[in-house]
Amino acid sequence: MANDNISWNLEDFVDSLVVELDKTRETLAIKAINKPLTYTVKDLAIDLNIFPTFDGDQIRFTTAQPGQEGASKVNIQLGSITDQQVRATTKMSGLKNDTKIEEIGVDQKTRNKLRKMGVNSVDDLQQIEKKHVDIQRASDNEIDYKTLANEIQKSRRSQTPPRVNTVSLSVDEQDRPFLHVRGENLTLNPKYPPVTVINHNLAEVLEFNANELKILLSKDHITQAESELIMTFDPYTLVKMNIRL
Amino acid sequence: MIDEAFLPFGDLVDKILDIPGATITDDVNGIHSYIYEIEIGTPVELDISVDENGKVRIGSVPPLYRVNSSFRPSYHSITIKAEKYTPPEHGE
Repeated sequence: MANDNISWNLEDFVDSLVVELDKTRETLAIKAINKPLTYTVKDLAIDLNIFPTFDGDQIRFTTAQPGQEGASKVNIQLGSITDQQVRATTKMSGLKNDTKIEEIGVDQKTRNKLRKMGVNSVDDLQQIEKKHVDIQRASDNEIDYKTLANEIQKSRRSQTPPRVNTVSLSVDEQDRPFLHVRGENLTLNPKYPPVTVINHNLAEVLEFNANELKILLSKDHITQAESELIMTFDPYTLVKMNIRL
Repeated sequence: MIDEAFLPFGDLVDKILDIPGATITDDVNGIHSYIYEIEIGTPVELDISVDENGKVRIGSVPPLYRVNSSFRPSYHSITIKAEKYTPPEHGE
């Protein structure tokens, strides 16, 4: 054989098998134009002689080579399934706002543990939460739920990053100067009021919402022509910019 | 890359299901029959390789030799149940 006998996992094997069968189906319609009597695969069973290995986390298979005896046998059966059955047994994946577990910053061990529990996305995790399941306890304390929840929030926030459109100087009813910051996705969670710093001095936020922020200015803030403005809208976002006052 | 002695698995299935003489005509009695469902089982040699992207490639070939030898290939087996293909109506 031209290639080394590399081990493979069952999921990848079945994926390739399905791709190959799909190819035959795709050409079938063309073939049927000139050859009315053509056949489509209804069921397929495959018996493989393999040597399974377990690396402590995943089972992989090595295909038995000529002359190798004592291999295990795995039988895979692929059956036809109707569209209706697919809808009934498959969870809709790839939804617009659904975040895959791989996309959030959790370590490999946690990812594997979640996957074993059937959790592949943030949406899956929310479904479990709705049933009031304590994931930390269900995983024998192997999943640190606090860290996980934090990473999910961080990931969600990165999908709606804050954007500053304009910063202008204005005065309020009491003739106090304030910075008027306008933009999008600024303060999304009222649990976390924004914190602002101008030229290393904390500045009071008068008003805030998702689209604007009013920051009270004092003499301490206007020390130079170009000022540094730092704004945090929650524990996951920090906006730093230079402004001329 | 699949070993050049092997076919991609889909091609093997195509070839197995390319059945000559699927229509049986008895002109004397005026009977025409055709195979509407068929089940075929065969031992196969498989070359399952993993490419540089981690994708599994399945190469397959039916047994090439009919002579028994002390050093035998590892024969896996496949069973395919196929039925007559009816094209979908109205371009579904």
